[in-house]
Amino acid sequence: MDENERKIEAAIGSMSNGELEVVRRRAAHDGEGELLKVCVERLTVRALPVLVRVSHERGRAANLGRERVNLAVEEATARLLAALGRTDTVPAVHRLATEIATACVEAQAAGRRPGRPRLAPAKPDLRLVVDGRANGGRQDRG
Amino acid sequence: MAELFERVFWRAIDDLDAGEAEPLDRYLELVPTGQRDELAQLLAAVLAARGPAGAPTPAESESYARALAVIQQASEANGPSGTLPDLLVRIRHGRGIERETVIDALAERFEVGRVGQRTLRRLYHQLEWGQLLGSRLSRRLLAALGAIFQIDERDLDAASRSSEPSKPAAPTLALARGSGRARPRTRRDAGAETAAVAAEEELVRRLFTGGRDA
Repeated sequence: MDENERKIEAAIGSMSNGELEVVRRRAAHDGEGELLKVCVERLTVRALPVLVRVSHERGRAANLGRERVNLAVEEATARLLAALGRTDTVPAVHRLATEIATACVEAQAAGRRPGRPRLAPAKPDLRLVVDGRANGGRQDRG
Repeated sequence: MAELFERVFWRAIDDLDAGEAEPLDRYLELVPTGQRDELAQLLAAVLAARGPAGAPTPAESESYARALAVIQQASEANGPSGTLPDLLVRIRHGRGIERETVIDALAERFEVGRVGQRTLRRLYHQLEWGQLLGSRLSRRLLAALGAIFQIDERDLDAASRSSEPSKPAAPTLALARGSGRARPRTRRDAGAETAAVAAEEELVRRLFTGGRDA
């Protein structure tokens, strides 16, 4: 890390979350990759107490084991890093961390239940129902 | 006036609950001078009642260590598709999903046949290995991955952007031409089948390398 990078790190470290969010959004909008990366990592680290606490609380409520909770924490951290890289406005980092951690715990809980699909269905299997019969299905020959 | 006092007080409480509290001076500055002492006493009482934040449990400490490792790994990612490869692999492994399952789901969504699936498999593999340019991934592909993994596609889009200035990705492998296929019965069949195979491969290639609007 050179002198300039150290100064940027120090300046960013002294910012409040609100100030950092403004810098993050500007960096994302202007395509300043390195600055964006520093902001995103710093915000993610600051959100870890919320992310970890929510994952553990929700994990306990869903009767998840320790390893599954940790997997949820890992996925939530990776997803928070990704979400904070967006150029559009995203919710405040702690709210975002809460939402993502909740979704990751739910994904772990869904994967634990036997017979549950771990991927979303490709397409809903819907048919038009006309006069009580499925349209497009086999028709009886007269 | 009382309404302002109350609004500032609850804003401070909301910020505290969200872990985003500003320095207390900033809340005090929002109310008239004559009410600052009262607001300070009220907030102090709330903070005193809550007590200090609890130290993390051993289980939480382990989670912190694993989360920090994820941040470290993302920080070191400097491939042409940003942190997307790490994100995809982490979700897959974390949820116990086989790569083939994702490829099958993509093939089903885009109605790709057996021959096209070979190309799909190879390109998805390259995507997970960080060998494709994130900026060349199509929006349709990101939307499909978002739907499959139940993630906002805008997050995948953001993850796919490299923090480095654009640089060429590793050369991609040549597309399969189906040399192992059974010999077609007639020349017309052969032409139709070849065209269908080419169209499938073109579709898959555009999904992975055609750019956002492909």
